[in-house]
Amino acid sequence: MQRIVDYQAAAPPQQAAARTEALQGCLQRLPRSDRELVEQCYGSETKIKDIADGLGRSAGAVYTSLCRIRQALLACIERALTSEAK
Amino acid sequence: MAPVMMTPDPTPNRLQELIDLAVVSELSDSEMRELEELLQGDGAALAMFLKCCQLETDLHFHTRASLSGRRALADLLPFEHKSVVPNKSTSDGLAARRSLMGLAAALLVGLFAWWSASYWREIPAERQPRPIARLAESDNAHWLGDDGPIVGHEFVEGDSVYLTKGHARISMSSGAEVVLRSPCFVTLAAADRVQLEEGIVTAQVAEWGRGFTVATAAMNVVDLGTKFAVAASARGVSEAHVLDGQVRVQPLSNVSSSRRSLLLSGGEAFRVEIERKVAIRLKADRALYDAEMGDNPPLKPIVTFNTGKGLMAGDEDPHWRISAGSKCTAYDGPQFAVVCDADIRYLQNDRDSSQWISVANPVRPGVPPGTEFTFENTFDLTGFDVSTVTIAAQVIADNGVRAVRVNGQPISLASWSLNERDQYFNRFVVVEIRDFLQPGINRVEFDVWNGVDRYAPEAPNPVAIRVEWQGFGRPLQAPPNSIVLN
Repeated sequence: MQRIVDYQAAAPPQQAAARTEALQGCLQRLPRSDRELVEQCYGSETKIKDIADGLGRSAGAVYTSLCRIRQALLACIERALTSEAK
Repeated sequence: MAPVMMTPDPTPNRLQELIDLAVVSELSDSEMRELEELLQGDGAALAMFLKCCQLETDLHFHTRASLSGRRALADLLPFEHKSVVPNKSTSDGLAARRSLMGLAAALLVGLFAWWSASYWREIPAERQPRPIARLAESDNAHWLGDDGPIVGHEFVEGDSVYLTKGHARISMSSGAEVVLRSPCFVTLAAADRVQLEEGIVTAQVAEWGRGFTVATAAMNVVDLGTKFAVAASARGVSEAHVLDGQVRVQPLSNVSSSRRSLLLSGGEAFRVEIERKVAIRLKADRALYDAEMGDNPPLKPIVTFNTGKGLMAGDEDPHWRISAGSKCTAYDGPQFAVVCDADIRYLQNDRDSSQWISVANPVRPGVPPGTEFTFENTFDLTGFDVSTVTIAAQVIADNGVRAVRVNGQPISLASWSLNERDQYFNRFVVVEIRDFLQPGINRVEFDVWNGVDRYAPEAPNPVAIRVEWQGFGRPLQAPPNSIVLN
């Protein structure tokens, strides 16, 4: 874990700024349903299970959706940063 | 979502599985140890884990900033701290992970504060000054400055002129003819408003220009269908003389007056002295203040149709058509343009002035990159002397305008495109139309180019345009009645 901290500390601030901007753009490209799920899960203290109940889905299904969304966001951010570097 | 966005980078399944569990605090002790071993032995895995942690933190900040609006940094710090602490504790390993998340959050907090502030900042409009008046006549006129206006010069809103000698007549696009007598210093604040700093102006206002106002330091003189004169001195003395019709005089608050406004009719005048705080009625001095207004009819606004004006998002705009474009899922051939909600990078819609239009609402997913769509609008010059017409469009387009045609003829245009990452679309570009106008209906076409989404170059992306017109000209003079001899 210390290596992770070291890695983080060594990351140049410009890189973090670029990543943040990229996230902002990528979130806007999510389908509305995914964006709403992100808002529900990250925008409050509500437990995933309660959110899943409200959506009529299982907690596992919501976790799976979140994993898919995170991977999509990571891929999109990566592309955006690569594109910018070119 | 664009297909390319859904293609994740290849990541070893087990590692990704453990990372997914870690970010939602669902790791068991054994899984935590397994994750640590994977991270210690593989730099790429470590980098991936770090990215996931960063994303998790970013998502917390982004979402909460979005939902809470313009939250101050002081509020954001403790909020973020809460958000990164998992709800339940399962192991010592998790505690270490929490520490990492907290550290990442702390490092990113300033960045997010900047980001959230920029995210929520309302995108301001950048409009260009609009043409509002034309120098119609001058008589031995001398102007302060090296390059005084010549007859035909068009003034834009906010222009100031100082006439040091002679007379000049300015035609306001709202329908007022204004004669300046030297020495005279005025600011043409808007099509329907002149600020008189010093000197004498005489105004004659057409029926369609009612409400035209001459303002001084002491009073506002509002036309109610009339010919009137206003004089102002540098010593704070102002007079309004009604030569014909009526005006409403509104003494400003720094002048003693029992009434907020008063009505003056033909032959009446009103004088205000700021220093002495005196406001008195007088008899109009026609001999001193009347002026020759010329033979030309006053300018008249042309009826034009700004994009989406007065409509609701999702409405078809009956005045704007998309007459050509690349066929795709969103566009199957000529159709009315649709008023769309402003995308996140767009200047916000304003129903009272103009709104964004596109092939559909919502504007996303949009149309294929590298395509072009022709937006078409018409205006009617019936009854206008075409040679006197001034018409200009203020245009914003995502991603730009490649050509403009008037009645099928391409006009001289510096085409533009804006296709940077996270590009804002808030700056109006002026497109002046001087050529190829004709009596009756005129057709104007804008070829709007759709660029590339820098995040997903192959994916569809929004295309939209927003136009605000400004047009005026002199009505045709009615021919003299012919005499019929029987």
